[in-house]
Amino acid sequence: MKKYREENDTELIRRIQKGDEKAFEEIIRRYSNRIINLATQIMGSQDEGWDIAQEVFISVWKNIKSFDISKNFYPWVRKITVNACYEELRRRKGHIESSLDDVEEGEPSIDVPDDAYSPEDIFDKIELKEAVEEALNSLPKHYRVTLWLRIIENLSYEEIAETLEINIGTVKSRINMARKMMQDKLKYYLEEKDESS
Amino acid sequence: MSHLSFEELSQFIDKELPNWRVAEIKEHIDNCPACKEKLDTLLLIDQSIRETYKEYNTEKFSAEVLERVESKPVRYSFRLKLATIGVAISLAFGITFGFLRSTYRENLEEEKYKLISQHYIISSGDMGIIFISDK
Repeated sequence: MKKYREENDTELIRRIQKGDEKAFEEIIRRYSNRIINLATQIMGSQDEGWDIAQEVFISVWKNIKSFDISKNFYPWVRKITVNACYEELRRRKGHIESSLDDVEEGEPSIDVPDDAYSPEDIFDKIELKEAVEEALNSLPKHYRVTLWLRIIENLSYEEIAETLEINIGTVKSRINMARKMMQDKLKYYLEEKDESS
Repeated sequence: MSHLSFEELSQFIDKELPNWRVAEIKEHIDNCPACKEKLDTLLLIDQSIRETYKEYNTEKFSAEVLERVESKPVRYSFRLKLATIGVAISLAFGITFGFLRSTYRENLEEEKYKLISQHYIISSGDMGIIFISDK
């Protein structure tokens, strides 16, 4: 395996295209964590994120011959992941909520009461991390995913637009709205932090 | 001095503004504690989101994926093997049966012509020779 760890993605992909399972194992080692995290954000649960991520890598194995070696591998896998998650959500719910371009400019309002994640509840959390996690999970799915692609995947607005098949204006509005909602949900906790510092 | 909007601060931390505007915003923040505080809050939220990124057991994950990847071709190959064996048996049986049948018919014809050459045929039809008498 050491030999594979030293190889770049392109070299590994060439090997996988010839059926080399060890090279495939190395690719899984490199990217599975990011893919599971991303799928978890879209699906809303770790178990589902884990399962979808497995389907994604199986799909990579099956379709690797069609992959253009001159392109970067990870964006291709990320796109497969986003598509697989939305496809699964569409299959389950069969309505607009899960579509890729279901955006709405300017809605929903950040003042919508959310009993499950009220600021008071968040205030009670001792760990900021836990509070942030809950606040993040309480965001509408498409806001959460857009923010995740920006902050964790470090994608530009243009790259997010390509990945989610939406326009840049929508990306901007989702990110602004998501940050506003996060700030609102964490308001009491953040104030507490300020006072204590 | 007007304060920076939330949208602009958001785009500022995402590096989505033109350089000239970035320079203006930096200068503004240096001189405006209120906007500096807003920016710090946004940066803190971003940082906290980064910290929610989890480390999963990728070895277990990898083993599960590889097991599934390996098990599929095996099943396929087993089915293929089964089908091939079935076809081979049918072919062997067919060929053997055909060969035996044609050998039997050849022998039967041979015997028939032998009898005809040795006897007078009184009557014959589809069902075969009905009656023969010695020459």
